[in-house]
Amino acid sequence: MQRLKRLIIGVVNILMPIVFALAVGAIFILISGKNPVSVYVFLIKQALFSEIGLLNTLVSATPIIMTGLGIAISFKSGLYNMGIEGQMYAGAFFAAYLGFTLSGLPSVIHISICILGGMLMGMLYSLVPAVLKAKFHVDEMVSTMMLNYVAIIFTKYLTNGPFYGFTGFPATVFINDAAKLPRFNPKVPFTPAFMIAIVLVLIFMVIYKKTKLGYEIEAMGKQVYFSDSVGIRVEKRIIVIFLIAGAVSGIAGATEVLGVHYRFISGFSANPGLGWDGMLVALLASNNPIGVVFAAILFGALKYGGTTLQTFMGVSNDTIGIIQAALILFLSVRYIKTDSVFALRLESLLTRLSGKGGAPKEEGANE
Amino acid sequence: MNIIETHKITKMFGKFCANSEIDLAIRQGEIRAIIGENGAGKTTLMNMLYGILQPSSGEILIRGKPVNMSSPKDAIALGLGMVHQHFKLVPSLTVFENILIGAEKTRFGIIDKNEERKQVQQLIEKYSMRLDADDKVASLSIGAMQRVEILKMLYRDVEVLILDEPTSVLTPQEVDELIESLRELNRQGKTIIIITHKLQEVKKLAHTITVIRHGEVTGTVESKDCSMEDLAFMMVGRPVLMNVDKGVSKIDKQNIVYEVKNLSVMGQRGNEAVHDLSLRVHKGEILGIAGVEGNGQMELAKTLYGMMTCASGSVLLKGEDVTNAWPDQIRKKGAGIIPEDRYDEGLCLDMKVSQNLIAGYHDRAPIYKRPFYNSKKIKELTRYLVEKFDIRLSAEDPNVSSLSGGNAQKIIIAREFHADPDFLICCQPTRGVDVGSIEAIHKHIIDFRAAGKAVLLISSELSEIMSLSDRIVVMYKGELVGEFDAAGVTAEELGLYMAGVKRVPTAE
Repeated sequence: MQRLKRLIIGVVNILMPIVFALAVGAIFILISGKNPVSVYVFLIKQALFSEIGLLNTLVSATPIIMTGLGIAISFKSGLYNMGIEGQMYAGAFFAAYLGFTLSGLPSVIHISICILGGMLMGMLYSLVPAVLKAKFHVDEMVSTMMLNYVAIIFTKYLTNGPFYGFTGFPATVFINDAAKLPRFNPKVPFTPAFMIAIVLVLIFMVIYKKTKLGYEIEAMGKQVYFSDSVGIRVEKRIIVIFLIAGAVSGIAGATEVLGVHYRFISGFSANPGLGWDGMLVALLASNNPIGVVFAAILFGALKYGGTTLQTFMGVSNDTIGIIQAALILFLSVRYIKTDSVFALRLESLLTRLSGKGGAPKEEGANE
Repeated sequence: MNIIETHKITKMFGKFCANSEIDLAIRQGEIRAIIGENGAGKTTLMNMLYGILQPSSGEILIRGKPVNMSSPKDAIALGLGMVHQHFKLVPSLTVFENILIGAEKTRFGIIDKNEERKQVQQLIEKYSMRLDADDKVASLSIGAMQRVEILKMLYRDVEVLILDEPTSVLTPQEVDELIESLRELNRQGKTIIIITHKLQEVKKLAHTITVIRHGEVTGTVESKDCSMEDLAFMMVGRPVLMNVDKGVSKIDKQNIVYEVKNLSVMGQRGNEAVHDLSLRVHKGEILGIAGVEGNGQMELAKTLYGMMTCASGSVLLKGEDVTNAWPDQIRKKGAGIIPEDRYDEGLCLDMKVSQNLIAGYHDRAPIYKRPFYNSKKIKELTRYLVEKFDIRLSAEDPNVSSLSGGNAQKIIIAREFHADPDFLICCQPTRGVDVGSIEAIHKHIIDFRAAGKAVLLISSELSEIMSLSDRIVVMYKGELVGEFDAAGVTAEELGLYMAGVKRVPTAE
C-alpha cells in the first residue's frame, strides 16, 4: 500500500511540471499563430514514432544520460557539483587529441584509449574542486562554476590556436577513422555510445543499491553528522564522488567527439549545455538512475523535435527553450508531500479499494 | 460539563489499529494527562481531536455537540489548540510577529506593529509568562519558544490546550516553569490536555489521568488516588521496576579497560570546555558522570567518541591509544557508542530502520562482503534485532522518522550491543524514552556489566546515574570535582558538588 501510494505521488510529482511546462509552451505557440495540439502531436511523432526520429532522440539523450548520472550522484550525496560541463569539455578535448594524434591502432583499441583518456581527463579536472572542497572547505558550487568557464574558454583558445583545424571556425582537425565510433545507420550518429550510457546506468544502480559507497552516499546526502558519527570519512568520500562525476562527464564528452562530431568543436555542447541539461534531468528524476534515462529521453525528444519544428511547422526552435525553462521553474515545486492531506486521502482510498480496510485488530500486532 | 467527549472512536491505518473504540470524557476546567508507552496511540488520538486525522469510526462531541473536523482550522474555531512536540516558529521573526502570523493586524493594508506588540504584551501579562514581545525567536531558549507556541494558541482564544510531549525537550528548571504556567492557565479557566510518558510530571500536574495501552484505554484515575507504580503497571501491563536491581558487582580493579589522561577540550565558543580531566573505568564497572547540563559533558562525550578533537591529553582503550580516533576506529577497537544526540549523530531519520541498524558496522561480515551487501543477511539481522530488542515498527522496514523516541533509541541500543563491544560510551541513554523502554535499556546496560564489560555513563538524569553506577564522578565547569562510591552517597550530597558549592580534588 505504502509503495503504491509513493509510486502514485512520485508519478504525479514528475508529470505535473511536464504538463505545466507544455502548457506554457502552448501559449507561445498560440501567439505565433499555430495550433499547439497539432504542433505537439507532430513533435511526438517526429521524435518518437519514426525510426530516424527515435534514433536521433536517443543520440541527443545519450550525453545527457551520462551528465545526468554525474550530477545525480553529486546531488544525492549533498554536493553541489556544477562542474559537469567543464569536466565534459576537458574529457572531450583530450579524447579528440588522442583521436587525431595516435594512429595505426586497431579501431577497438583506439576507441577504448580515447574514451579512457576522456574519462581520466574528466576525473583530473574534477579533482581540482574536489580537493579544494575536501581539504580547504572551498564552496564547491563557486569553484566548479568558475572552472566551467576555464575549461570552455581554454579549449576555445586551443582550437583557435595550437590545434586550429583550418576549417573556418574554431574546431580541431578530424580524428582518425579508427577512432570513430561505428554508426548503426549511416544517416544518424547513433553509436554504441548509447549502450555505454545504459551500462553506466546499471553500474550506478548497483553502486547505490549494493555497495558501501552507495550506503555512504545516501547517509552523507541525508545527514552529515550521522555520517561522521558512523565513521564515514566524509572528506575522502567527497573526492571519490567528484571523481566518479568527472569520469562519467569525461566519457560523455569523449563519446560526443568520437560518435557525433568526429572532432572537437569549440562550444560543441551549445547553450545551455549538456552538463546543464544533465542537471535538469537529475532534478526531474530525483537522482534515480532509471529516472535519468527517461528524463534524458524526454529532453532528447524535445531537442531533436525542436529542430524539426522549425523546418516543418514554422514554429521557432526557441519554443523548446521556453518549455525547458518553464520546466525548471515548475520543477522547483513539490506538488504533493508524502504527509499532505491529499496523500492521506489517497492512502485511505487505496485501502478501501484493496478491500483490506476495517480488518479486526490483530492480537499482538503491536507487541 | 464535558467539554470533549469521544464515543468509541477507532482509527485504522490499513490493517493496523492505532486506536480502538476509545471513550474519553474531559471535564471543562480540568488538567487531564493522557499517558501511555511510545506507540500506544496517544498522538493518534490527539490528532483526531485536533482534526489532523479523521476517525475510521465513532464520534467526537465538543460541548455535547457531535462535530466533524477536517483540519486543525476547524478545531481552532471550536476552541481547541494544540502545541506540538516540534515547534513551528519562524526564527528570524520576533515573538509578537510569530504569535500573529496568519492573523496580522493591519491599518490601511499595512501591518500595525505597535498594535500587534501591545496586544501580545497584554497577553503575556495576563498569563504571567516570562517573555519579551520584541525578542527574536532565534535567540530564545527552548522553554521560551514553547511559551510562544502556547501564546499563539491563546491568542486564538482557545479554551482547550492540547500539549504533545511538552517536557521532552526541556531542562528540569524549564519543566518546573512550564508546570507553573500551565497551572496559571488552568486557574484562569482553560482546560488542559497533556500527552506524556513522564510519570513524575503527571503526578505533579494532572487532576485526572487516562492511560492508553495498545490503542485502548486501560483506565482513567484521579491523580491523588494512585502511585507511580500503579500508573506504570497500567501503562506496561505488568509490574515495572522503578529501581534497578544491579546485582553483585564484580569489579576487577587491576584491569583498567578505559583510561582518560589529562584531557582538555576547547569548546565551540573558544572556551576550554573540558580542563585537565582524568578518569579510569575498570572491568565490570559502570562509571557515572553526573553534572548539570552544560558543564562540559557534551564536549567530553563528543571527544571520546570521535566527533571532536581534544587540545591535549590522551585516551586509552584496553591499553591502546585512541586519542582523537575516528568513530569507526573506536568501534573497531571494541567500544560501543550511544551518542549524545540521538537524531543527529545516532540515527538518520530519512533512512530505513535496517540501514540504521547496520550504521557504524556497515562494512563488516556477514552483512557486507567486499564489494557488495548481502541484502538477505541485512533483512535477517533486522528481523532478529527488531524482535530481540522489542522495537515496535508500523510497517515492514519504515524510515526511522516514523518511530517514537523510545523505539528510535532502541535501534541504537540494539546496534551497539549486537556488535558485542568490551566498553560502552553511553550518553543520555534514556532521554525522552518511556518507562517500559527505560527499564529495558537499563537492564541491557546492567547485563552488559554483569558480563564483565565496562561502561562510561553520561546522563543529566541524576536518578539514572545513581541507580546504575558503581562509582560516580561529578563534573563542574569542565573539571571533575568529586568522586563517590555510588552506594554511599545521597542525591543531596551530589547536588552540592554539581552546583559547585563543594569540591575535592579527585583521587585519580
